[in-house]
Formats: sequence, C-alpha cells, structure tokens
Amino acid sequence: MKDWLHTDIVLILLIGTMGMLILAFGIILFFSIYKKRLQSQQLYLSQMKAEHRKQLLENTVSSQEKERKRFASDLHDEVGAMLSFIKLNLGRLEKKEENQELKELAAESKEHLNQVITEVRRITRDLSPPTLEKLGLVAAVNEFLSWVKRSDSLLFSLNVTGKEVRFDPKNEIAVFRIAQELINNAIKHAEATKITIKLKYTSTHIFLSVTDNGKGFDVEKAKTKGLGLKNLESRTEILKGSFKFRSKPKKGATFVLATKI
Amino acid sequence: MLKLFIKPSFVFLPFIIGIILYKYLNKGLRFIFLQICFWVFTEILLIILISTGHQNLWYLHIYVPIEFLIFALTYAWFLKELIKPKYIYAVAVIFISCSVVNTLFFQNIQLFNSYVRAVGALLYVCFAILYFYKLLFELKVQKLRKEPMVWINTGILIYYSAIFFLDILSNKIIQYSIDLAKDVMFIRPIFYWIFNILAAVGFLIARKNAQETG
Ligand SMILES: Nc1ncnc2c1ncn2[C@@H]1O[C@H](COP(=O)(O)OP(=O)(O)O)[C@@H](O)[C@H]1O
Ligand SMILES: [Mg+2]
Repeated sequence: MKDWLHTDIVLILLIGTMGMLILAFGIILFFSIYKKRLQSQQLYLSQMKAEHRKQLLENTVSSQEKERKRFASDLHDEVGAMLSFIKLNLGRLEKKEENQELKELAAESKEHLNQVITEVRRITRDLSPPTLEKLGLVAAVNEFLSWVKRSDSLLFSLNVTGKEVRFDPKNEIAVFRIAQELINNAIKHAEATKITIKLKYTSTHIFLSVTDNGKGFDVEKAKTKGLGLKNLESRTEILKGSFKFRSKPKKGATFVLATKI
Repeated sequence: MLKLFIKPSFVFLPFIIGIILYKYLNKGLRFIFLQICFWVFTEILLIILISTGHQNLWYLHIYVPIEFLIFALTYAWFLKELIKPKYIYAVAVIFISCSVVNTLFFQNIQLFNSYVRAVGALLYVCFAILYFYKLLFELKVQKLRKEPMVWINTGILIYYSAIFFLDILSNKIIQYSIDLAKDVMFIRPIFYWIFNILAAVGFLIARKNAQETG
C-alpha cells in the first residue's frame, strides 16, 4: 500500500519537473529561434532592398542612354538635315549673287554654319557614339579625344595594352561614359597641361585609368558637389567593378577603374 | 486551506505601478492590469473573510470564471492577428458554462473546484504559447525584451504551468497527508511572485517605450 502511494506521487513529481524543465527549455528555445528568424528576415529584406536599388539604377541608366540615343538621332536627322539644306542654299546664293557685299556675307555665314554643323555632329556623337557600337571602346575613346583635342593646347595621350576585346554593350557604354566624364572633368576643372588615358585588357578584366597633372582636388568634398562623380559611382556599381580616386591639391588626379569583362 | 493563498504577495507591486503608469498601457495591457486589480480585490476580500471567520471556499467558484473571462479578453486582444476574437470568446463561454455545471453537479461550493482550475490553467498555458507563436509568425517585434507583453506572457506561462502541476500534485498528496499537501502549497507563492515581478517589469517597459517614441 505504502509503496504504491509512493510511486504514484513520485511519478507526478517526475512528470511535473520534466514538464517545467521542458517549459524552461522551450522558452529559451523560443527566444533564440525568434532572434535567428528575425536576423534572417532582416538579411532578406536588406538583400531585397539592394537588389531593388540596383534594378532602379540600371533602369535609370539604361533609359538615360535610350533618351540620349533618341535625342542624338533627332538632332542628326532633323537639325542636321536642315542645316545641310541651309548650307546648300547659302552656297548657291554665294555663287549666284552679283553684289559683292552680299556675296561675302553669304560666304561668312556659310563658314559659321560649317562650325555649327561640326558642333552639332560633335554633340550627336557625344550623346550616342556610333563608333562605340561599331568599332569598340578604343576607337570610340580615340574619336572622342579627337573631338575635344582640336581646341586646346592640352596634351592627350592614349595607351592601350593587351589585346582589345569586345564585351557586353551595356558595360562598354558604361566604361565609355566613365572615360568621357573623367576626360571632361580633367579638361573643365583640372587646369592641366597633360592628360593620360590608359586602357589595359587582360583575359578577364579591363582597367581604365585617367591621369592629369592639374591642380588636384579633395575627393570627399567633390562628391557632394557634382553629379558627375555620383554617376560614376553608380555606373561602376552596375559594372560590378571597383574604382579608386587619388588626388592631392596641386598634384593632379588619378582615377583607376577595374571591372570584369 | 485558502489561508495559503493570501500569503503577503507581490500583487501590490504591479498594482501600484499599473495605477501610476495606466496612461502608458495599451488596451491589452489594461486587461492585464484589470486582472491584477481583480487579484488585489480577491486578496483583500479573503483577508476580510478569514479574519471574520467566514467560509471562503465558495469564492473560488466565482473567482475562477471571472479570472478566465478577463484572460480571455486579454488574449482575444493580443491574439487578434492570429485568431478571430470570437473564437476566444466562444472558448470563454464554454469554459464558464462548464464551470457553472461543475459547481452545480460535481464539485459544489463546499468543495475545491480543482477540475476547472486545472483546465483553466491549461488553457492559459495554451494562450501564452499561442502568443509566442504569433510573435514568431509575425516577426514584427524588433527587440523581444522591449515588448511588455513578452515579459508578462512569460510570467503567465510559467505561473500557470506551475499551478497546473502543483494542483494535480497537491490533490494527489492530500489524499494521504494534509500536512504534506500544505507544504506543496507553500511553493505556489514563489511562482506568483515571479509573475507579479514580470508584470511590473512589463508595465515599466511600456512607459519606457512610450517615452522613447515621444
Ligand atoms: N580632374 C579633376 N581635377 C580637379 N578637380 C576635379 C577633377 N575632377 C573633378 N573635380 C572637382 O570635383 C567636382 C565634382 O565633379 P563632378 O562630380 O564631375 O561634377 P561637375 O563636373 O558637374 O562639376 C568638380 O566641381 C571639381 O571641383
Ligand atoms: Mg563632371
């Protein structure tokens, strides 16, 4: 009798104690599982955000390129055609006109018009370089340089090492835009006498560097000033590449971009 | 036997804190506060009944359904994203009916209504687990230790699972030795204190949150 009583209560005690232990363990487990799930959810959310941001960036850049292309072709087809027509008429006027004064005026206008036509062509090419698609990056950069060169006493040099290969047109245009922006910056801001552009191809990567011997600048401060450097960052991001800016006041500036082909 | 319930307890701690911080409590926490008020009322009533030499076992037959009703309202609010409140109200109606039936036909007011108490405790444990499940399911709370109900819910979970176990144990022991059963009953207040301390912490956190968010 006594023994039976004993086991009975011991059993309840045992089960109860186990139950409480399981409960305590369960509560601890709950807290740790909660933490883990929360972390993985936050990770997921931040990944989604980054993904979304990248998507947005790519969309903006690609629509920007599209818009540029459309603008360039409009400019070329409409304005360019009109200008050529005017030039033709002016030529005829120059030939046929008896009055010497008017003849000279026509010739002078034609000269100005030639400049305008050249300028429009330059802008068109800037906006959407046909050479890039057709002949590739080196040719396009070369052509771009030939357009900016003519006016200045600035010295340009373009060095290409490695065998040029073509890569994804979207990336090609990004690299080209970066080069364009850097060269423009060096011309606009640096007050340099020499600008060196280097393109290096390896089997997996392409490296671009633009160096000037100008007045240099504070990179961190400059980032907040213009759109150029910001665009540069986002283009590099799209390229999944990396870049480095090195510049000290009065010591010129060097920019290096590396990206996979 | 009910003397054991009125050991000076910590229920006045969350009660006083609850009064002071009442305006910071959300609706769910106000239900918890209501429960604590009810417990305070119960303690005072029992002190009066015992000191005037009155019977008091009958009060448990009123106490258990009211306690359940308040907890049902509490958890209907806290679990509303997980379970439609009407289902919890339905559980409350069933429980209270069963409690009345139990009193009328099985354990009358001269007896300890152990069955409904045990079922009630078990249901509170279920509510508490469901609340944790809801948190885990929603993942809305960024820091668990900053959520008042996490503290209070933990208290409820611990307290009522202990009660469930101790009730069964003392009901078994009482068949053989009343003295031993009394000893078991002495363990109860420990868990009651734990709950009350956690409830007080919960209220304090509610105020802290309100102040931080301005
Ligand atoms: N090669 C450079 N030499 C000196 N200053 C530069 C050079 N490149 C950029 N900067 C400075 O950084 C600033 C931000 O450049 P950027 O973002 O390209 O904007 P933006 O060209 O439209 O002014 C420029 O205003 C200029 O002061
Ligand atoms: Mg710029």
